[in-house]
Amino acid sequence: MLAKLRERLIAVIDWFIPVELRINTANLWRARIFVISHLLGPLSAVAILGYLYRALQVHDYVFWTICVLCGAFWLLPVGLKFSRTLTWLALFSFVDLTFVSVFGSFFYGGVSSPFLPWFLTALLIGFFYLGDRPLLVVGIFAVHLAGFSMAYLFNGAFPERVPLHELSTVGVISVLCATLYTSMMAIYYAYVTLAQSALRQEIDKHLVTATRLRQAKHDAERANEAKAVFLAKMNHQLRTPLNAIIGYSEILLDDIEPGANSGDEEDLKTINKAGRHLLALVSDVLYMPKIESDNIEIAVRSVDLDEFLDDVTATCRNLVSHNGNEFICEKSPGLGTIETDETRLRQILINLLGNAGKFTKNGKVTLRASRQTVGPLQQIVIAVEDTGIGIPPEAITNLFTDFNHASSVTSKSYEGSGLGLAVSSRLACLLSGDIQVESEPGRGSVFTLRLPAAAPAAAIASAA
Amino acid sequence: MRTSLKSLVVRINSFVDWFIPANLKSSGDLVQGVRMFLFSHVFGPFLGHTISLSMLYINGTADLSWWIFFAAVTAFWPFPLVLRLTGWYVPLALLSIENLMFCIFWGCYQYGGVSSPILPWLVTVPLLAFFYLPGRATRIIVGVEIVANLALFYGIYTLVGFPEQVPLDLLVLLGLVSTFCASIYVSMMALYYANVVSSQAELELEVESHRVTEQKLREATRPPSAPCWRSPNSSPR
Repeated sequence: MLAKLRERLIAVIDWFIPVELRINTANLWRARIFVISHLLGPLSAVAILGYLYRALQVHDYVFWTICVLCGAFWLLPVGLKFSRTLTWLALFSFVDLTFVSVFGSFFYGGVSSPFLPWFLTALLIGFFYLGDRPLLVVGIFAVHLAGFSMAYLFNGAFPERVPLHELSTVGVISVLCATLYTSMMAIYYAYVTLAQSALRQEIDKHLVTATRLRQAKHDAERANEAKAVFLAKMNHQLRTPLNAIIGYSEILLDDIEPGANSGDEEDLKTINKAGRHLLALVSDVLYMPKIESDNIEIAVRSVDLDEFLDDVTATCRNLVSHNGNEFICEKSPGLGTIETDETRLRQILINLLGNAGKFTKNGKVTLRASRQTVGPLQQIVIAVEDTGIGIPPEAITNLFTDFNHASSVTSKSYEGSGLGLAVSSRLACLLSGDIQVESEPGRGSVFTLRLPAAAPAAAIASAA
Repeated sequence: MRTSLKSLVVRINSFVDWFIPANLKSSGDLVQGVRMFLFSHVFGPFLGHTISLSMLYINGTADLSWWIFFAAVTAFWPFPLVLRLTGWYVPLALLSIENLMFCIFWGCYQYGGVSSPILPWLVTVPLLAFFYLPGRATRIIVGVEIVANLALFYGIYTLVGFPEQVPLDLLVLLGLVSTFCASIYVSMMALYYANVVSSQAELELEVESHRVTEQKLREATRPPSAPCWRSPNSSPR
């Protein structure tokens, strides 16, 4: 209930506050205090003026001047709404209150006037709104105080329009109102100070977190560097013996006489096959960190898609058809050219076709390519469709994550590091494209690669 | 101007910080209030004694009522030392507020009653009190304290009346001096507050900049980004 009332009051107050003054909490609250004090503050003036109205026998220009100047405070929130500046209105308010205080004090009670406490309040308001111009505030205040003193000295006394004892009650009321007004300001100041201590605590907390994060970043960078050095060394250390194993096994296979019926040929083929598999695994494992760290060069050039796809089809034919699969390549007419990195694109397609061949037995693998127009852009869509085992829905989410096979069964039944799709996906990303997958368990899968026909500026810059 | 003002504030802070006991230094919520408490207790009595000297000038003689006022104003000075020795901030703050109101009402009682030129000093009480004691409960206590003192003062005035030791006509000098001193006091406090408020925006910016840095650092320490591929679709072809 109270919260709702508070919300409504704040909404009413905020109606007067232009957007320009809501740039931060401090400014917003300063504007809110301005509106509140100028809507409620003049009510205390009404009490004093009402009392004076009854006490005075003649209501001359002095009385009406004070009335007009006090009434002007009510116009300031509206002025704020339309002028969109607080500084000038605050200056006017400060000068107005200072003048009314000394003017009223001089004519109604002198140093015992009910207006005098507001002289001090005016000073507080001046510093509150114009704290960045303290000399201006002090100057205006000093001029008024000096004027008040000089007027007294020139006049020889304060004019006694109302007997002092008649002003005593209103004097107490006025002091009480000024005290309430000051209380509001003081509570705001206390609130700001509290908020500041909270902000300081938050800054301290952020500094600690930032230090930790910097340390973590530093550690991560060092670990990454160490990993890069390790991988570079491992690349050499693993490939050299593997190439030797593969090379020597091939030499030995060539040396076996045709028709020789010994178990050596089968053993050598197993060694060769295992060596090649291991080399492929090593290549994938060593290639992944390079992509992750964006440490891979993209060489964009114009590629004739017809020729390129023919070449890929020829390269992958054995890879796809070794499980008794039929391999079909369907190219839409007018494929034209694509500006991309040919090597990376080839790598993606070999990965996708290799997977299709691996997970399909005695089925059909189709490579389908077309050119499509999407808005102002041309894009090349290359789909690899198979009639293989398919992928369960729950496995699709993690399909492109490193080392993830579609299921534990496939990881056991089929060879591979599980990095092929992750590598392909990230390469597609580097070529400003993406890979989409549709699949149904038992019926097969379609992996669709979409690439922009013209290389985006970022890719060209990277290539340069 | 702003730079010199800030350096002045820093110097004053380092001076008054000496009086802050260790148990309060670690309290983020209170330390600003404590600083203001010390600030006003170190410098405020100088202004109070300017008024007491004016009273002496008007009176011509230091009678008991003047000595009481003088002692009450002087009593503010030991507060910082007592705070450093005891660390009893809240009781001392409440006692100080009561003493300030006593000074004001005693001065009013002796010099002009409800029409006394010292009465406007009452507006400085919440300025100090609500800042010294930021909690809601203490704020209520202080509010009650102010209203009770004012009610007692007005009650004595209406029921018993005040002694007219000095005619009101002679209080003009005291009024001008009092107003001048109160203005300086309010200016000091208001400048301090203005500094606090203006640094609020800077602090907010600082926090925001830290948030951005933290976000960037988090992103920098995050594992490599996930692959970009279209949302999965496992519907039958």
